[in-house]
Amino acid sequence: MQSLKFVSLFTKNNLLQLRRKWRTLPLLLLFPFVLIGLIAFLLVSYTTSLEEDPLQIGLVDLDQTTETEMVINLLEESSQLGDFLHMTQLSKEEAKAKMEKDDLIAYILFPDEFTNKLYDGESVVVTVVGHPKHQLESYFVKELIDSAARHISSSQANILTINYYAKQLELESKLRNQIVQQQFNEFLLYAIGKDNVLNQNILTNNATSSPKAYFSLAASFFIITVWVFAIYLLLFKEQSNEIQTRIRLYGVTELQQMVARIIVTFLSTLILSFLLLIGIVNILNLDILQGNYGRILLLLGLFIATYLFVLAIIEAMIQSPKIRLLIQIIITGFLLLSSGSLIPDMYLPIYIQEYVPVIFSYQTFSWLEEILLNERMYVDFIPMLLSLGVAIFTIIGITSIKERVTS
Amino acid sequence: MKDILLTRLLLWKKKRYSMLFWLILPAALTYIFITIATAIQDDSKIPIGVVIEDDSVLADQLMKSIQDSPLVHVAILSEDVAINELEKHELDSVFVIHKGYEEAILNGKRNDLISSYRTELSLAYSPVKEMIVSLVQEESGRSKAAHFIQNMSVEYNGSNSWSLDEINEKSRQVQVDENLLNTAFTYSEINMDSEETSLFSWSTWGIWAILSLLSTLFLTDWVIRERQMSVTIRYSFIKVSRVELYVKTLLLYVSLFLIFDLISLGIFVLFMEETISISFLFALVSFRIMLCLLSYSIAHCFRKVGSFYGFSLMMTLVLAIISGAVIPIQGLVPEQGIVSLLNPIHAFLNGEITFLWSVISIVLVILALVRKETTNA
Repeated sequence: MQSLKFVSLFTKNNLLQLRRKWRTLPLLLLFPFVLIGLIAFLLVSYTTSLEEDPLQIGLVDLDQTTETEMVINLLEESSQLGDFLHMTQLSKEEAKAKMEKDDLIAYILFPDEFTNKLYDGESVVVTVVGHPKHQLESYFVKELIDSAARHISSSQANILTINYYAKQLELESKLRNQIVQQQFNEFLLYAIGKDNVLNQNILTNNATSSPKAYFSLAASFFIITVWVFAIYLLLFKEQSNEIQTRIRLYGVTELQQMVARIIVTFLSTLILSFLLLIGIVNILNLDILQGNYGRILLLLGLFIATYLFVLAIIEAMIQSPKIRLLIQIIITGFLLLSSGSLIPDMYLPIYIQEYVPVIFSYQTFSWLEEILLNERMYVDFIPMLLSLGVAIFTIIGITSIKERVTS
Repeated sequence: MKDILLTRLLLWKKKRYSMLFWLILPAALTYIFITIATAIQDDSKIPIGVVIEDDSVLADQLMKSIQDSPLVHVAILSEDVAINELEKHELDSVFVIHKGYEEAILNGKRNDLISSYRTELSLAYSPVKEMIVSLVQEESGRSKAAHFIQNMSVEYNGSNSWSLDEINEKSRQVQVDENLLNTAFTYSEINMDSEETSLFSWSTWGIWAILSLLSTLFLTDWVIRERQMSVTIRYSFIKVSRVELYVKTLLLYVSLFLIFDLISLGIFVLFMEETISISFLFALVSFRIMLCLLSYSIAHCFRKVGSFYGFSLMMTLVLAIISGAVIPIQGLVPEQGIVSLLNPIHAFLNGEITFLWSVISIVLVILALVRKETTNA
């Protein structure tokens, strides 16, 4: 009874404190939006700048035979190496000059005797010269060229085989050369048309695969997490040792003060994040089935409560405020990463995927996804309730041990 | 100067563990972060589903070569299950090897042998597609050549002298024997001397710079602590003026940080194969001076340590994003423009000397000190 009285007293005090900080509060709540806005701004400006002026790549032909000309013409015309790339034929000097002016990110060098060596079965090296300031992009070009080279080298093996058997047939060399050259052209076209192997389908009919909905949900999950963290920290007050001792003499435990802060943070962020999710649902025109609002609220409540207890556990364990803050931010980053909202968890290594479902942030995010995007009507609350239970017992355990040590 | 050093040393000695922790943290955490990130990156595979409708040797071979690729993790499923899992985003994409695959390949046909399914969220579809297409293409090209050779043999020799298997074997052998077409990758000679770095090397220093920013800000909390009433009273009784005291203390902190920067540099050179150059050393020193001065002037604006820590954290997060340390895409952040001008660590990340922000920080520090002096007068 006494302990409930203390908790409610501190809760009232914290609410007052929150009201007194009304000027910093909106700033704090806007902060995660600023972060997401910055990321979105950078990504959008990057892709639009790529679209407006695609990566320029030079093609330098030192061999000057009909075959290389054909390869280069095909490369120039086709967009098969990606929409963001634009290729033009240049002389070596031009390529170097443009490179110095930062107009090219890479050029591809077809060496002397390229065609002859190809026919004779000698090994040929196609060189990609990258701009040192655009390492990643030139590397990307190299990857594309590698994939093209794989196609050319398998066609080349075929041409050489044809050449070999033509020799066995003892055809005269003029006829043989003609056959081989004709086959070279044919295999080149064959390599260019490689995508005909595939009949490509995109599944778009359901709302679940819309990247917009997925990333909005991921962004709101991030925002909610930052809100909880920020408000919890805002309520933290440094107390001098004298005041701490005085509070303790009244019989107030550390746990009671923490619980009071958790209650205030929990209520305020639960309301805010529920409103945020409803806003997202309305903006994206998602269907919410009967009863799912309740499930969303429950999911959010469980997540916020467990997360707050985790923050409180760190607070109880670490004395130094700086290190405490660092650990709290690292754990928050870890929770966000494992939730699958930053990187979908299927791209993680398998040994990590096995353990991720144990983490409550993963449970929350995946069930939110099921309810909001896949229109499910069911949520398995048991794993989250278990996490909450573990967190509550840990915090009670740690604070009672601390209490005993200090007294 | 000596007195100030001695008193500082007394303070540092008392807080040595905390000081050491924050001084070593940037290098240590960078190392740990990069090690973990590369390990995860190396072990990450793209989950794809493969549906085999054709029960044949060639289809089996294709499936085995897909499985051998380090890029993907293959699940063999029925079409319904695969599509369902794709819709639930448990697979990145699905590839269906159609019935009659072997027959078509042997007959030299290659169109629409395989169907692929993906969603708009299939982030890794195109490299996987390229790989599978090249595997199929290799097989179908080989049999196209074999057919041509048989025809040629009939045309010029009157009879069919070789079997398809024989020719295929030969073609495979040719491809294995002679490593035919290679690609090489070099950087153009311009600016080679100072920037001969590997693909992701700047991100080591990028992460280090972000963490240093945080640790420098956190360690500059002495400015706030020493402005509390219990300490300020004593300032009136010391020999030196307050400006002198602050300037000299700052100098001490800068040199302390620089010592640990050299240690981090050593760690990175030894364990992470970083290269260094004279110009980089200058960039590092100017960056460090700027960090200390900037942290000092920021700390001057706060009365409470707690809100200073909070602000430091927020500032670090924002700078981490706008300097591109969070999303490792080079060229993501435009080189020129307002964003990079506003970013104090941008110059360092580009390997340049931090000039603009050093000047700004010096001005800010002077403002902070002068204001202090006048209010106390």
